Amino acid sequence: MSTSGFATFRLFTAASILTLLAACGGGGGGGGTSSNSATKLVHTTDPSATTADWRVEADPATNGTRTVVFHVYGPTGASVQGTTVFLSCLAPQISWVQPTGATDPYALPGTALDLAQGPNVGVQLFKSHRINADLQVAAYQKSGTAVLTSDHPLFSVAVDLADGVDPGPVSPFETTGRTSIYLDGTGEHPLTLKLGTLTAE
Amino acid sequence: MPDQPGVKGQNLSAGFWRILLAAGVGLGGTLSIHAQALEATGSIAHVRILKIQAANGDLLDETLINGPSTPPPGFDLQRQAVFLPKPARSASSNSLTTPAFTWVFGCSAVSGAMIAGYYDRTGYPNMYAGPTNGGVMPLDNSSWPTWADSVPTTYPNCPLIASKAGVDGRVAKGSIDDYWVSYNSTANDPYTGHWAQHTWGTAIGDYMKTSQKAYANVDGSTTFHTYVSSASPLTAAAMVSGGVASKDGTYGRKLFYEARGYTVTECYNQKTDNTIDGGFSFLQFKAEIDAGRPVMLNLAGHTVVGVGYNDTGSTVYLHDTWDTSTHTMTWGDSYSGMELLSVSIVNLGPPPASPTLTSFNPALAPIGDVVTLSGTGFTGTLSVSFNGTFASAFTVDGPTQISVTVPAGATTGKVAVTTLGGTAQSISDFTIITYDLNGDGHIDLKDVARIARYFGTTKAGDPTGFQTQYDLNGDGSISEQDATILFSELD
Repeated sequence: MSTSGFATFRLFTAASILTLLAACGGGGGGGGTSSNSATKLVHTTDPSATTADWRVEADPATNGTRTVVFHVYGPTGASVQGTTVFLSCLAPQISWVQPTGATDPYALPGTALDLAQGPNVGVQLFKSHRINADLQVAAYQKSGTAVLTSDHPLFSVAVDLADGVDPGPVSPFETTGRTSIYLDGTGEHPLTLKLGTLTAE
Repeated sequence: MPDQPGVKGQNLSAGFWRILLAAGVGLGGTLSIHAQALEATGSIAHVRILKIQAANGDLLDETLINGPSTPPPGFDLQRQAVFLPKPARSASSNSLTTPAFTWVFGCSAVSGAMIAGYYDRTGYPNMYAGPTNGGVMPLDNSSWPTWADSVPTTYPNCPLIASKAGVDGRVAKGSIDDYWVSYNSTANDPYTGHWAQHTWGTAIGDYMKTSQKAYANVDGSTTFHTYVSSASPLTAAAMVSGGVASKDGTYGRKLFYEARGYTVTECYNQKTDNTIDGGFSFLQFKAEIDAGRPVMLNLAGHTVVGVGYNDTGSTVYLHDTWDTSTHTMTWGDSYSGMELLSVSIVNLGPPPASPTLTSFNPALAPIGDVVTLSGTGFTGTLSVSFNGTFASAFTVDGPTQISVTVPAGATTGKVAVTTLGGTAQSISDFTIITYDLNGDGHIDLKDVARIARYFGTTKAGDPTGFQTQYDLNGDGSISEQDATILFSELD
């Protein structure tokens, strides 16, 4: 073997090791930032969703940034007293964070419901509760129902992109084993949210 | 040694015979190590009488009674059922409403259970604490299924007489499983060499040693002791000092009552005045009935329960274990060909006061919280239950207060306190708080929907719309405070 041949072999070996290392570290989030890591989250509304559906829509001002705010809407024209929604995010690539302007740790009241009712207006039937990647949010009026519209969300939540996440799908999903519900004048009913897709880019 | 008045001849229908025995001989096998057999003084089909010298020197008749499960033929006329007269002491009669059980395990145990069942219904409710008939001993034993032994002979059940696996929800083996082979069997008890016998507690037959080979009782039999030639009662103390208490059926009745938590004030066997001058008399029998105490009567081959009397003809009303009817005999005479020999007397102290349950605080609580019960007569509390679920942890703080932990599985309903004097139940419901308001197995924000749905309703203003189970702080209204409590309990 010539000297140049030996050098070529060493170069090949080093490249192979780098390739292997890259392969082992790929696909997961939370690692060190690399030049290939995603820098933003892009949400696409479920194309089948209409205003007649329970659905999630991204706030246009935050869509395409590291922290995306999701607005939760109900069917336009439906009269509801409130809702409880169970959502999970793809951790650790994605995490639930406090929406801007919220006092609750993980949810911001929308404008569809009148939460400021009752003898003790300081205590609302509005609450989030997070356990790891699972988030639940309840938003209820204390009396009566509200007619939902397409421009007034029930509440909003926000997700944040972790550092070092490879580009790819990171869509939220409904929490396994839990059923979201809404309450109207006749009682509680299950609902299915159309969540759309979320991509790390 | 008591006085020894003249002994009347024992008119045993099979003849009187006397055989000197060396020792340790008997139908049932070995004799008590505390007593020495002197002679067998009589034996007919269903009775064997041994004269023994007790450890304290007393001469005793040791009578093994093994009454059959069906009546002997030939006495149908005497055994005609009669109506038990209503109590009318002015008309020289009286009677007690006493259970009438049919034969299983042994006539003496059946008779003992009839009397214990009577007491269960008259102020001593812990004699029977099983699930049947709400814990009150029924007037007959038709509530329980029959069973058959290996013969096969079919018998009824009654857990107060003898316990049995599968009866009254019993899982473990019981008296019948451990001790019964077949009527009159002298074989080893089934448990011997195979498994540990059951723990006694609920069946009087266990304490009476009925059908237990270890006490020389062949299957169906029970042993009683009386003085040979004395009319005096053979008391519990004398049985103990004589070393015969452990196998005596009457002493066993005492042990059973005490095991159920009651105090025994009197316990003795005594020959009746037809067999010995000065023996237990019809007047004494009447006094027992008038005092509200059925009397166990031991015949020459059977045990029955005296439940009433009529002065006319010195009539005794009795339950004979062969059916659930009332029958009669003349005091001092024979019944179904078997002469009256003795009585077995075990009397109880006054019935414990019935408890009362006047209040509980708080009025609602989640499982695991401590609730304070207020009332009276709580001393010796046996159990506390919430809508039928028994609490495993409670403390009797005093006669008027109990601290109890709400047990797992409890549901909203009445609280009950059971003592030796009975059961007291709350007038109002105790509300079990469960934060899982929709019952889906999770305490989560979906439960908020229940509070929202009934928000603003009050117990006072909207008693039909108000839902107590969502009023988590028990203030009578569904409000923000209840939501706040729920928020703090999320799983």
